[in-house]
Amino acid sequence: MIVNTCDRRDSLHTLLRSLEHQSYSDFEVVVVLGPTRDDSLEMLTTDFGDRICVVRCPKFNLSTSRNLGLAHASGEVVAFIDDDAVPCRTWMSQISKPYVDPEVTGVGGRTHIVNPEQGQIQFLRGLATVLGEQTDVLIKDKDRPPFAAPEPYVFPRFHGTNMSYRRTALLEINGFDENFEYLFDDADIGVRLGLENRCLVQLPGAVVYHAPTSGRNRGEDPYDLNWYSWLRSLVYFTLKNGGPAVGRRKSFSHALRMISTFFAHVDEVADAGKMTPHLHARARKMLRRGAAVGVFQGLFLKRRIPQRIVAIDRDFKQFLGPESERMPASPPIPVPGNERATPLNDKPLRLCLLSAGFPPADTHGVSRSTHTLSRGLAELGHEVHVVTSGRRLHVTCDNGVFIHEVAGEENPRYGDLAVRGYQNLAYWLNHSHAVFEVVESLHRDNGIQLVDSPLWGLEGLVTATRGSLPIAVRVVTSMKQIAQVHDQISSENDLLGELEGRFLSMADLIVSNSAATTRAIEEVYGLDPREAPVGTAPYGMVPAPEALVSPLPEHEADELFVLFVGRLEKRKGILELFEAIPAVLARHPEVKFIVAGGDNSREDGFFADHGMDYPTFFRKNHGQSTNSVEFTGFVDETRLEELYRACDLFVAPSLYESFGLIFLEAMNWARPVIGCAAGGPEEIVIDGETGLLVPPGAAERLADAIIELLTSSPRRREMGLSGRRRLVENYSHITMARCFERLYRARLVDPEGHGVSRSGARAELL
Amino acid sequence: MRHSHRDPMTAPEVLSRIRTELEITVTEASPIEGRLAQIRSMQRAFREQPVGGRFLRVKRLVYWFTASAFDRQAKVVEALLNLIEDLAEENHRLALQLARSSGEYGIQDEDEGKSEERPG
Repeated sequence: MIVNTCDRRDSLHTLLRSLEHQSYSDFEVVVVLGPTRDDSLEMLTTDFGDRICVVRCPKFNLSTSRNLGLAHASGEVVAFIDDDAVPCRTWMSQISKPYVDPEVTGVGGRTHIVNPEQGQIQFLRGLATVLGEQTDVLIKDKDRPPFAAPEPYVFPRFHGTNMSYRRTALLEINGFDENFEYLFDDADIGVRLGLENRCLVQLPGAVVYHAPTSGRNRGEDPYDLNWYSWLRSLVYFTLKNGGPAVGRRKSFSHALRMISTFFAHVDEVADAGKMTPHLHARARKMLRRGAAVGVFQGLFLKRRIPQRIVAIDRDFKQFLGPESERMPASPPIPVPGNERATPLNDKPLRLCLLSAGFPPADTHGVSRSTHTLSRGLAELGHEVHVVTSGRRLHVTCDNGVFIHEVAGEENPRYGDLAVRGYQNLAYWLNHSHAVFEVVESLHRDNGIQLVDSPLWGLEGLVTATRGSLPIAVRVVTSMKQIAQVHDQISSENDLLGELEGRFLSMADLIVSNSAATTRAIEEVYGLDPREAPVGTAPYGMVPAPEALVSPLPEHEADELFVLFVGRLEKRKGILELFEAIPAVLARHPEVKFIVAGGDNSREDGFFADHGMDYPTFFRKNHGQSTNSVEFTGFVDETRLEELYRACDLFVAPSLYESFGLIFLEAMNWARPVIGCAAGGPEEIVIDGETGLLVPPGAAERLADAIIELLTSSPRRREMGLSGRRRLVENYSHITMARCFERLYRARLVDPEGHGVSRSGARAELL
Repeated sequence: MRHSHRDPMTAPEVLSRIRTELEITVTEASPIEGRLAQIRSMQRAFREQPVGGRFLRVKRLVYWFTASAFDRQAKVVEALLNLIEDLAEENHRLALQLARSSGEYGIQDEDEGKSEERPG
C-alpha cells in the first residue's frame, strides 16, 4: 500500500490507524513523505516505527511521489490511497481477489465523500477518454454521457484514492507522468494502460471513505482550488493522449472548448454568489496561466516519464503487528478521545445501530438516544455505523460515526399491504427491508459483528428474520403501550403490537433502559424474565461543558420560569399540568410557564373527543391563566438548550415514561426537576435530592411540588447542582456506551470477535 | 379510533411475507447484467482492434475503406444492447412482481388450509 502525503499529519495518522483493522494481513505500507512542514515524520517514527517504509520525496508532485512509492514497494500489487481517506475493513481483501486472474492489471473500488455537510458518492465506476472527458459515477453503461472521443478511446479509470495495479504493469509503462503534479494522474494511467489493452476491474464493494482535507491544493472554501493545476493538467492530458489517438487538430479544438468551459464555470459560480470577488479574480488569473502552460506543455514538451524506474531491493515489512487488533477504530473524521495510540483492553467492536431518525434532522427520543450511544461507542474506540432514513447511497461521518442513509420508499416492496389498509406497516417494512440491504453490505464490506435496533418502528425486523447477524433490540415505550394509553385500538395497531412481540422473541439481546421498562415489556409481551435475554443499560447524554453550565442563583428572582418539554399528549401528563397551573399562579403570580413541544392531539385522540387541540383547550378552560403560559410549539435544539438554561424549574408529569431523557437534559444544565413516580423517572430522579416525584395523574400533588420548589431558591440551586453531579457520574454518554458494550460482549460476540446469532433460528420457529 | 380491514393479516402471515421478499432479494442479482457487460466489453475490444493476424496491413487497408459501415453497425449493436438491457429490467421487474404475488397466494392458501403458520 502506497500513501503519498504532505502536511497532513493528523489525517495520515488516522489512515494508518484504520489500516490496523484490515481483514487482509499480508501487506506492507510505504509512506512517501513530500516536503512537509509539520511533524509527520516524528509521528511515523513514534507511532509506527519499523512497521512502515518511509520514503522522502523532495518535490511537491504527486506523480513523482507515486513513482518513488512504486520503486520502493516490494509487493506484487501496489494499492494507492489518499492520506485523507480510510478504507472499509475488507478493502484489501476485495481488491486482492481479482489478481488471481493473470490477465487482470488493475482493480479499483467505490469512494464516498463523508464530510457531514457534503456526503455523496465520489466515485462508483469511472471512464476516461483520450480527450480528458471523465465520468466518475456510472451506474449503468447505457446511462453514460456521450463522449466527443470515439468509442475505441474510452477506457475504464480508477479513483486516485482507491486504485491498485500489478506492480510489473506500472513498471513496464515507466510509472506516472510527472507532468501531472496533482490531478489527472489516475485518469492518465488508466488511459495509457487502456491503450495497451490491459484489463482493469472495478469493484463496487471495495469502499473507501474520503474526507477531503484542506492542504496546499485545496483551501477551506470549496471553490478555493488550485485552478491552475486543474486546467493545465486537463489541457496537457487532452493534447498528449488525444493527439496521437484522434489527431492533433481535433484534440486541440477540444482543449480550447474545455478552456472556455472552465472560464464559464467560474463566472457562473461567481454570479451565483458562491465565490467571493477576490477568489473569482484569482481563479481567472490561475486559469489563464493554466491554459497557456497546458497548451505549451501539451504541444511542445515530452512526457515526464522516468526512463526507467529502478525497483529498490528490500525486505517486505509486515504492517500489522501483534497489537493491531486492539487499536481503537479510526473513522475518517476522528472523534475526540479515540486518537490515542495505545491499545485497548479488548478488540474494538464493529457495530451497526439502526434509527430511522437521527439528529440534527430528527430529535425524537429514539434518534437522540441512538445519537448519544453511537457517539459514546465511537469515543470508546469502536467502529460504529448508523443506518437511518434519507437519501439512497449516501454516507457521512459525524462525531466519528458513519451514517448511512436509506430510502425505503425508493423500492417499495410491501406496497400491497398499504392497499389492504396497513399503511404504517407497509411503510415500516419497506424501511426495514432497505435497512436490511445496507446491513448486509456492511456485514460483507465492513465486517460488522452485530446490529442494534430500536423496537419502535420494527427497523431490524427483516434483519432479524434473515438471522445472519446477532441482533440487539433496544426497548423504549412500544407501539403496543402507546396504543393502550391513547386508546388507539385498530387491527393495524394490534398487528404492529403482535409483530413487536415476535421481534422481541427473535432478539439475541433485549436492552431495556430501566427496571421499569423491563417490567413493562415482561407484562405487555408476556416474556418470561428467566428465559428472555434481557439486559439493562440506562441511557445517557453528552455532558455540557462545565464552563457553559450556570447554576441557579441563591437569591430570589423577580420572575420565575417553569419549563415543560414534550409532545402535548395525554401520556405526557399535559392535562395534569393544565390543572396544576392555576393553583400555582394563585400562590406565585410572578411565575411564567413555558410549554415547549408540538401538539399531538390529533394522534392521541384528544382532538376527536374534544374538537380542539391542547393549547385551545387550555385557553378555553383556564382563561385567567393564559397570560402566564406560553405555548412555543416544536422547538429546535438551539432554542431547547436556551429554554433549559433560562428556566428555574423543569416539570414533566408523564403518566408513564420508559426512561425520561428530558430529565437528564434538565439535569445537564443544573436545573431541579419534578416528575411522576412512574417508570424511568423513579430511577433517574432522587426524590428530595435532585428533584421531586409525585404520583402520576395527581394534579394537586403536582401543584404542591411546584409551589414547594418555587418557594426556596437555595433548595432549587442545590437540587440542580446535585442533578448535574448525578448526570456526569451516572448518565454520561460514556457510561451509557460502556453499559451497552458490556452487554454486547457478554451476549452477542464470542471471544474471537464473531457475532453469535440465534435470531434466524428463532424466526423460523415463529 | 377503530379501523377495520376487509382482509385482516396476522403476524405469521407478515413474517412469511418478509421471508418471501428475502428470497427475492437474495436471488435478485441478474446474470443477464453480467453477460451484457461482457458483450459490451467484446464490442469495445473489437472496436479497439478490428483486425489482426497475418497480412495485417492489407486487412487494415480493407478495413479503412469499410470503416464507416462498421461504425453504423456498432451503433446498431449498441442500440440493441440497450434494448436488451431495458427488456431484461422489465422482465426482472415482472418476475419480482410474480414472485411477490405467488408468495401472497401461498399464504392465503395456507390460511384456507386451516394452518395459520408456515412451517419453518
